[in-house]
Amino acid sequence: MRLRRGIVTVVTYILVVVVLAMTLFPFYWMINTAFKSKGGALAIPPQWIPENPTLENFKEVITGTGMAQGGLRYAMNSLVIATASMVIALLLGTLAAYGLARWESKWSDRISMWILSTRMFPPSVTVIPVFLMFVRLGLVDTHLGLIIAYVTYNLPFVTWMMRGFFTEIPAELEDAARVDGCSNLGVLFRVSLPLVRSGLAVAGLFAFVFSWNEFLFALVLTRIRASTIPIQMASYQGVKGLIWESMMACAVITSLPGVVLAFLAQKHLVKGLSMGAVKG
Amino acid sequence: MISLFGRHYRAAKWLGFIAPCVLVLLSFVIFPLVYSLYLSFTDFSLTQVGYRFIGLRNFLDIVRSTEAKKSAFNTMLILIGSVSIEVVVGISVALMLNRIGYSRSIFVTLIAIPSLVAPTAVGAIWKMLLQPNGLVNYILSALGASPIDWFGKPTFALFSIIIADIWQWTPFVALIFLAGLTSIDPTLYEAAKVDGADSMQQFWYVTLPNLRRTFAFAVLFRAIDVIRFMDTVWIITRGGPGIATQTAAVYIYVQGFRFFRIGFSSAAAWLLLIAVSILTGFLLRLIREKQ
Repeated sequence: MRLRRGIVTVVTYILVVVVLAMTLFPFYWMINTAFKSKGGALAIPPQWIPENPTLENFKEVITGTGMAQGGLRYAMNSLVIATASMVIALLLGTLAAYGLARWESKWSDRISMWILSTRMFPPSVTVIPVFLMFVRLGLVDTHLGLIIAYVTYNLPFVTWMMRGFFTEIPAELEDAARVDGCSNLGVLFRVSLPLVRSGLAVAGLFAFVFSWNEFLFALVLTRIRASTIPIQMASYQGVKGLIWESMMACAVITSLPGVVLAFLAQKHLVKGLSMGAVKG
Repeated sequence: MISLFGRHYRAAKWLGFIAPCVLVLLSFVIFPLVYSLYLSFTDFSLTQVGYRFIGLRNFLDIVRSTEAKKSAFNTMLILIGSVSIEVVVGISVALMLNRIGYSRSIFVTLIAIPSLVAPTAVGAIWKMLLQPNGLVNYILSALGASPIDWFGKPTFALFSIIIADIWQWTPFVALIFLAGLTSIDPTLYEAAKVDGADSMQQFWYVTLPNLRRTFAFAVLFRAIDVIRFMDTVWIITRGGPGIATQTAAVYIYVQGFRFFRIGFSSAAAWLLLIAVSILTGFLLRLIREKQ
């Protein structure tokens, strides 16, 4: 009996490692290709490790030479837009989450559900009218325009996630501060927020990565000046005689925030990926 | 009177916290939705000045259009093809991960990576792997099979998109099921063991029934995502060859921003929204039942 259990455990570990290998191999191939010299990507037999490894491809993506159009501007735009929208979404989302967590009323639940439901709409529906609105407001191809779009995109997620964290705080802690004369806003910033700071960090990380990865709004709402890194990825697509080595260097840079997030947000991965709604 | 005033005062206080968030969502989600509905009854186009109301003509044109039907059909094929495999493999992987105690968290972290990486990057990776002289075909011919023209043949082009989707999202589905597995009350297993159930019976009569809600959640999230889904398709095939892999989201984008038919595209988007709402409503009912 014990032997059988031992065998099952060993087999399980082997299977998990196989799954892991299948998951990670395409990433290995991406990194591998990014370091190959031109022509190495599709060479037959395949180069399992780069022959003549080079940094040329990354240099191309960063300086905007060769097939990589625009260079570092795309990554910089992504960085600025994702950071700004993260900060604003955290601010507005945390305020709303706190209000919804503390306000005891049937309306609190209704508004929460409504906020969550706005995230369920396919972006294809809102992208057209938002584009027309932005044309009127002069926001097409501006950083501000995309920041607004991503704040909207991330707000339901941040609100929902932070509300979950706030409801876990014991009421006595806050009541004590209230007795000492703190206003609601004071309680939020001096007592409650410090208690959920790890949750705040996780919500922020997810918001950042969602904005960094987003494609449809970036495609519709930007032309050149405010384009983000997924647009740079897509710009390779239309090119005849696509240069895979350079494209993969771009893919490596595009993937980085997501990979970092996986390691930083370990415990909250499921919650974050499913908008914190799994708890029901 | 005073208590009534007090309650309203409290509500007003909290509404101040909630208002900014609600205002943003009203302006950039709800207003656009209404505006989009309005546009869907017009022949608004970016190539002409002014527009007319044309009633339901856009909707009728969409229902009659073979291209629209093909796009809806493609979306359904991708939805059924990828989500069914993701659920089956996802449950299996979750069961495995649930068995290992040592170093589980590092496995979970590594497995989560694909779902966090930009779909445009994932699309690019698979586009490269599935090239006519790419690695997948190399391995196929090394195994004695004939290489496949992944992007030239409609069926295989659809497969290539499903493959990329399965690779990217199976781990996410597995993580949802892992969360579901760990939340099953252990005393249920104890009771089953006392009743003499072997591990297979435990799986059938304890594990699976208790995963029903998790199952509905997993399908809900994946369905919403596949339906909105356009990044990967855009990078891998751009809907081609012809319109063989054009999904509903790609169709709406192309109609609106390549052919500039804003009114028509808005109507299509609303039909998609209605379809998503029906599906979501159905799955949410499955979740709420027996809670």
